[in-house]
Amino acid sequence: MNFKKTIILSMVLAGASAMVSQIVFMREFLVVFYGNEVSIGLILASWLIWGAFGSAFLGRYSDRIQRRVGVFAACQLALSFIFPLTLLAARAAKNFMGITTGEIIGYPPMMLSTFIVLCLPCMTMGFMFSMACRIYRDLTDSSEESIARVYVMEAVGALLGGLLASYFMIRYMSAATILLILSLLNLSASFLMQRHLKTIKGKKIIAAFTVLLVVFGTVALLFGGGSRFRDFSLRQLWTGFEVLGSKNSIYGNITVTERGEQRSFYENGLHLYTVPDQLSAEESVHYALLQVESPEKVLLIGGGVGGLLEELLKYPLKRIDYVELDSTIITMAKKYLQNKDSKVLNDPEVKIINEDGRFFVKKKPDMYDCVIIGLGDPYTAQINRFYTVEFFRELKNILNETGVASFALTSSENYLSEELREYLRSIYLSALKVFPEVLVIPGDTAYFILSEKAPLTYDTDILAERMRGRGINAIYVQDYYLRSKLSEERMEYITSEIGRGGDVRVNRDFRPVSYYYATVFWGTQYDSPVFRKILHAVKPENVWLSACLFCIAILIFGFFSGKRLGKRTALLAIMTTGFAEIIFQITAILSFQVIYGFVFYKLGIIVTSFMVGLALGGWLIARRIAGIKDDMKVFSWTQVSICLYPLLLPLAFLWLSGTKSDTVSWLGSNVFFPFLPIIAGIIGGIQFPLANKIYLENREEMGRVAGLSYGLDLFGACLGALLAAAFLVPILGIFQTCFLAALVNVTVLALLLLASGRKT
Amino acid sequence: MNIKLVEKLERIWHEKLTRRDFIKKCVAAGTCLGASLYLFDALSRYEAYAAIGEKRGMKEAMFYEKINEKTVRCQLCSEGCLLTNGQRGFCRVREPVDGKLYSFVYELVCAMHVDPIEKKPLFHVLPGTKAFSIATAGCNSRCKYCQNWTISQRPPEQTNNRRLTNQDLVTTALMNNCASIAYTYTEPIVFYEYTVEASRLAREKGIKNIIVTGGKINPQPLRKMCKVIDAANVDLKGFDPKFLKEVCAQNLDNILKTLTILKEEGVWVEITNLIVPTLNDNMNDIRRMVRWVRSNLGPHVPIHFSRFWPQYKLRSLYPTPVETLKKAREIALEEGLSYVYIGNVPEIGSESTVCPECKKVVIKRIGYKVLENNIVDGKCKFCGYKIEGIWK
Repeated sequence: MNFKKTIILSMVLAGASAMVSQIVFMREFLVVFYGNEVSIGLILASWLIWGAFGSAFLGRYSDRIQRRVGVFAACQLALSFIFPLTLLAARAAKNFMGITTGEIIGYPPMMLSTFIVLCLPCMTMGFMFSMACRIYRDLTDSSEESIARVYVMEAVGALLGGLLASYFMIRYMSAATILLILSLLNLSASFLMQRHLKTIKGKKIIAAFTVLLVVFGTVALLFGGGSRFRDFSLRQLWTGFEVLGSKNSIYGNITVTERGEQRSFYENGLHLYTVPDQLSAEESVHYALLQVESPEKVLLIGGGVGGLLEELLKYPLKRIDYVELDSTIITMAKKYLQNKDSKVLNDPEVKIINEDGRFFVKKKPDMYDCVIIGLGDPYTAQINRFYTVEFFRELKNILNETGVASFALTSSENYLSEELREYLRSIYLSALKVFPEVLVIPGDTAYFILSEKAPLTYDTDILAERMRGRGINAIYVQDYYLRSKLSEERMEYITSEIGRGGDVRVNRDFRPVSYYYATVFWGTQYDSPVFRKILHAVKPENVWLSACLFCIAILIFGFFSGKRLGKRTALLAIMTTGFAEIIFQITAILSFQVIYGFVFYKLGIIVTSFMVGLALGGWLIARRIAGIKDDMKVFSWTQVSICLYPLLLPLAFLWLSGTKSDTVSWLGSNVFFPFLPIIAGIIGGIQFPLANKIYLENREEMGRVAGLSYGLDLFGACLGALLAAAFLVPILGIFQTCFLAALVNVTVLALLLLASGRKT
Repeated sequence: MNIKLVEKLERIWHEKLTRRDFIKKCVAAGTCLGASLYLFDALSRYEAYAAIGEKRGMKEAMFYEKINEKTVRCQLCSEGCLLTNGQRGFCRVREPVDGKLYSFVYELVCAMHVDPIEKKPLFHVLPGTKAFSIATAGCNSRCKYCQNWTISQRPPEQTNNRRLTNQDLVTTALMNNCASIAYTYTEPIVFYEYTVEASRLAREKGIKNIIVTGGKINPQPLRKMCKVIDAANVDLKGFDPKFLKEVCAQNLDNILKTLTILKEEGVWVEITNLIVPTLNDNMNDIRRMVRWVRSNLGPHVPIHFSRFWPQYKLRSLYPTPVETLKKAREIALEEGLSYVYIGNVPEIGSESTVCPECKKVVIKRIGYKVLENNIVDGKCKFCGYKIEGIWK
């Protein structure tokens, strides 16, 4: 293989390695740190910031290093060790922090450990980008063209890696195996690179060593080394637990643990339910069904494995539909639950539907007497979709007039803290917008019962009588228990606390604020006043104020830049574009989820088509870049489009979510959403090489510049990732978040225009 | 902004610094560091957050030692915090002002409920009656599975409080037909002054006083408290010093000492042991624990094994398997304890009091509800065996 081809191959591989390892490590960290939106933001931010550091600060050396090819090959070699080590470090992180079995981790240690663990892989990969640009430059004449080409190669690699990982690897392989494969590929690429090295001392030894590693790795992998490594690292992650099985589905990780006769289910490291757990099962089912005169059809969204089905089957129902998004939970339950607990899953009366609950409800499949939502607290935007005003409206459409819906949220029996109260109240208010009757049953878990017309009662005599009258045998939900649980005094306390006013916002599809309240409440479990105050200070007006101050700072920076204004603004634009584009992706994914449901492969298409756009844009410009005369003009036009794009997004989302026409809906799901990100990608793909050209202006230190601009791109994306999912979307809502992205870019556009004006 | 910074950093990287530049840069860096430290410090200070209600109930502490004008040592519990003016103790409710130590939660409740006394749990004290239950913010333990962490792990400035004077407390308890006042949910030791003063008044009015405590208190204040309280439920959270220290910030010897003193002083004692799977469910430890109870407190001290639920920081741990609770109960019975209960798991049915002599059920319970009471004058109705407890 000739040198150029080797470089191209290596670059595509680097892009693929970055994407695949990002997908794998993100999921790993979610299990370690429980996937709420803030932790996702923090993990992504550490990922990007190290990449930025690697390319911007280490990249500066790529011009000075003499043996570039050798260093690049060494990086590939190093990477093959770093991947499995990072997995091990991620899984063992909790043990190093002295965390007790089953203990959750606060944000500061979470941040610190992701930051430390991700340092090596991300920095190495970031550095490799600048090196590759520089090496490629030595083969061609034009600096800016080679940046563009390397950018395209990386994007293509990322695209392939992303597709392969999401649709194939994750489903059939463990994280350990995937990373070992990545290691092997990088080793092989390193070997190919080494062949093009000038003869140096020890070259043969290193080459032999590499080959040996490849052979050894392949053999190990073929003979079950992957699963050995997986088991070993899993033991680190689940110290203190007896793990029966742990499986990655496309949606996340499901782990089942054992303690005596008990089986506990964990989703992304967070305790879902334990079987048997008579108390929770009885409370979830009977509180709701006792409010219905004679229930016939019941819909259960999630939670069926946790014993709810068994309780439901005590009623003479005509039909039980059980919707569970992730079929892995069902297969794991059938495999690991004891027979007495799992046989309900095979009961002919129960119809199990593997589908997104939101999507299922929207289709309006049937009318129900009772809908039980067993999904738990909305710590993520994904679960939050089941607690919005819009969802409650959809729910009302499938409920009979006297039907009830119910769900359970974390609460506190003796005292509601301000954060907990705000969280519960925001969901309470959202429910009240649609259902005139909302009953909250207090306890360490609060049960919400909603109805349009059913006369909800908490009179213990009536409820106990109904229970007896129906001949349903329950251990907890009967006379004695109801009396202490629903005592006048306790009911009064929760009603007055949740009913009390205050600045609490309603949860909406396009402003999913409840997951923010939930996250703030989660954060209070750690006595971290700093975080608490930051979280409390995030109010819409404060966010806009900070955004405006930021824009003013940009303008001031521009006015004092003098001659270098154009160049600097071009770099700045890369950052703000990186910032805006990750926001587009996040908002597109969230909007798709609320409009069409959580359909994994379609969400994958959104991410993929963005990468396609990026590659396409880079490819388009790479061929023409040398010939462009007025760089600033072209660049300004790309900036105009990045300003307009976010203004059009909300309109499109609104139109699609409001439409009743099937054709429009089909077009939205199959044409509009998949193609929308391509445009964003193209803009970014064109802008990046162009900005480099403007900044470079015939100078020689291209490795440094490529590293710097790539680093800024990542840094902007890092800011966007951290801010958008954790703060902007829940606080401002999707629309205002788009406007904010536009505002920042308009400011940069103003500077660009100023710079072009000065030039002429 | 960032570009500027990056370029600056680059320049620093490249250029050889002159001494003047170096000093300049050091000053700039120092200022930045100072400013961020200040910001961090300002952000991390406690701040009054309560939306409604009272914020402070100050009362000079009963047990502390004055070191100098600014410094005091708190002598209430084994933490023995050495505090200077404005510095908050480990319990988050005590702080010296002008060289005097104050409790900040005197007559300042954040939680107030009417509970069945069985919920405390106290099974041998006035069964079937109601206990007026109150708590203030703060605690001197750090149990990672605390049920009431939203108040126990917070200073009073961050909870919604209301002022409830001793007088009002007693009146409200009477109004609600409560036979007792329970100082519970958080830790009555940290609102010591309130507990002692209110108990004194309650006793005058014929109301019993109950504390539900982790037992982390020094002997001297404890003995003083014993003069006014009638019953205590002590959380003996485990028998492994390492577990107690790491998961609860507790000390085994301290709790055992407290139990012994309570018994000596004639306070009715019941013990609760909450079993956390994988952390303190070692059956050998449980056996050692019940042996200690039997030989130091006697066989008639009731012990309640209770079930752990995923709470607070141990949110990712599963509930205690029912078999574990059953096994613990068997061990306690084997070792000769007379009254062994399993709280809140009615499917096991170990909530009723059985006469150790004739083995008949003397108090039949389900959940917190008393279905039958066969105790007459403190004795088993069937065989006349004396059942220990406070029955009137």
